[in-house]
Amino acid sequence: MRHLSGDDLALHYYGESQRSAAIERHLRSCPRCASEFARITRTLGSITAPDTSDPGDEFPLEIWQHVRSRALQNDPRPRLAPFVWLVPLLYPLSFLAIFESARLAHEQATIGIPLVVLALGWALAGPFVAVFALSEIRGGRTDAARHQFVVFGALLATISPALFNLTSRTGLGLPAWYGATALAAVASFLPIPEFTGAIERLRRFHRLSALLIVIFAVAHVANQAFAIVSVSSHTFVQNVLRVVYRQPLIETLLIAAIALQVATGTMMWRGKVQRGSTSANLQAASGLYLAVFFLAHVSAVALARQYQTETNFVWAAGPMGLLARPGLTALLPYYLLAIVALFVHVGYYARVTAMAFLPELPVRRLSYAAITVCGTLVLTIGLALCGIHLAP
Amino acid sequence: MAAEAGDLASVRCPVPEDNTAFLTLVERHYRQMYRLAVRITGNEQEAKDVVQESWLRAYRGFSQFEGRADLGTWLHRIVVNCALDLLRAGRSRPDRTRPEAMNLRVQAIATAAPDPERLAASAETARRIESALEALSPVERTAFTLRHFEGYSIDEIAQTLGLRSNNVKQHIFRGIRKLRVALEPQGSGQ
Repeated sequence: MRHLSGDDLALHYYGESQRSAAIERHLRSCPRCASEFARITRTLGSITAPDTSDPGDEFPLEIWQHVRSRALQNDPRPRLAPFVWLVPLLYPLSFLAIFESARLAHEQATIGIPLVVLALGWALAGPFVAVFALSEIRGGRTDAARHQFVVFGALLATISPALFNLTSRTGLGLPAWYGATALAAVASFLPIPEFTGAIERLRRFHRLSALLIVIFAVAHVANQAFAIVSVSSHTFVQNVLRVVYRQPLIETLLIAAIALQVATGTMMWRGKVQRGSTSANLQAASGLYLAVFFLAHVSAVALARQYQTETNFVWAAGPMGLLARPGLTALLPYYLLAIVALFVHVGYYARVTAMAFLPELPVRRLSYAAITVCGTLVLTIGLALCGIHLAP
Repeated sequence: MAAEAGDLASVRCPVPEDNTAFLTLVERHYRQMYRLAVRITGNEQEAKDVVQESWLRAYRGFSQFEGRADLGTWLHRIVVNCALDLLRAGRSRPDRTRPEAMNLRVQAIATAAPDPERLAASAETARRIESALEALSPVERTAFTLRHFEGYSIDEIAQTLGLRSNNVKQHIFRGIRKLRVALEPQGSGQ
């Protein structure tokens, strides 16, 4: 047996090691490990619990007064959270702002370009505002029904760019968008049962289907990045990739995986939000956006293929890029947020998994690398979607 | 347990005007909750805030408590998460202004009949333990406290914190490594 690590010995100290008998035998025959174990025992043994003084006989009454006053105040903490509804209400203005500031940038780059960045930030801000709103109601998360209005507002703020894409297909314009918003507001007052089934089984299906989607998504997103070189180079890479993913079996598996991913993710969303931590909320928001994006994007591709339309880069971004007209500009936050959501959603899971096996520092470095890759991809694909290419 | 389930039924009144059943429950559990909060936060005033906030969360969540867990376990889980929220918000500070908190730990470390020198040495050790614990991240400190002081198993900690067992192990290992660096004489580690 090799020498035991400090972690193995610490686990043994607490009686949590699954190979205690082997460790005991080793400690009897290895003076180095025995001395290390004695040192750990001494150190951990010296850490004694601080004795606590009694909080006082009047403390139960103080608790009662605190609970009573806060309960009667109806929890005043989530003051700003209801304003999350402003995100869907103002969303159509955000891509109009991108369009108008891009036009200004053509004439006055120094004023126009910062305005484009600001407007784009506004259009992409929905999920982050949603996470802030959800964290504001964190203290009262156990009382879900009372905060359902905020939760639904956060839901709508998160999915705004993808939902706008779906409602605009009705051809009814803004009335369809505000109709959907009003419906969500009404739904927030209805009792919605929470999923109480076997979450662990759902998680397994969710991860399994995610594996296939991630492989496809990495190839697909990398393919979009090639458009920064030229549309023809994007098309070349796309044709190579299509040899694989347009195979009927792979296509069917992919669509099944997406359906499974959306269904299982939707069932787990609320439970995730109720856990209340910012990272859990980010995971839920990014997953929710991806679910609606998949729904919008896959159905758009299916419709286009039904009408024998080639679903290439020009189909996605138009011949002159997404800044050619406001209707197309709405697609810019829709696509870019999908890339961000993919990185956040997969990245969060990867980070939690890596934390179980790697020390903190490499995990942190890997996280920074992933954020840099995500930022670079968003910028690259964003410029390409706006009709900017390195080669004509 | 049966008595507590009965108490819960009467606690679930919409407006807590005068709720003796609630007070009975508080009386039964607040000392253990407070002790746990002190151990995690290292600060008695903050621990009081944690216990008050925990009871507020518990009050709001009684309708969702369906007796699947023991009430005490459920309350402890709320305390742990409230305390963790507080540590994450960076609000908790050790009780340096309250000498008796340190003295109690010193008495635990010192022998039964301590001379002034031993007491001084113990005070120094206690201070080092306090600052070593203070250097842990919020999750490391919480996981370590639950394992070391409260005797929770790693699986129980994972369940309480909503983490995976492997993650909890890593947090505890990291915490212990930091504590060893801070508390063991230099050059004695692996």
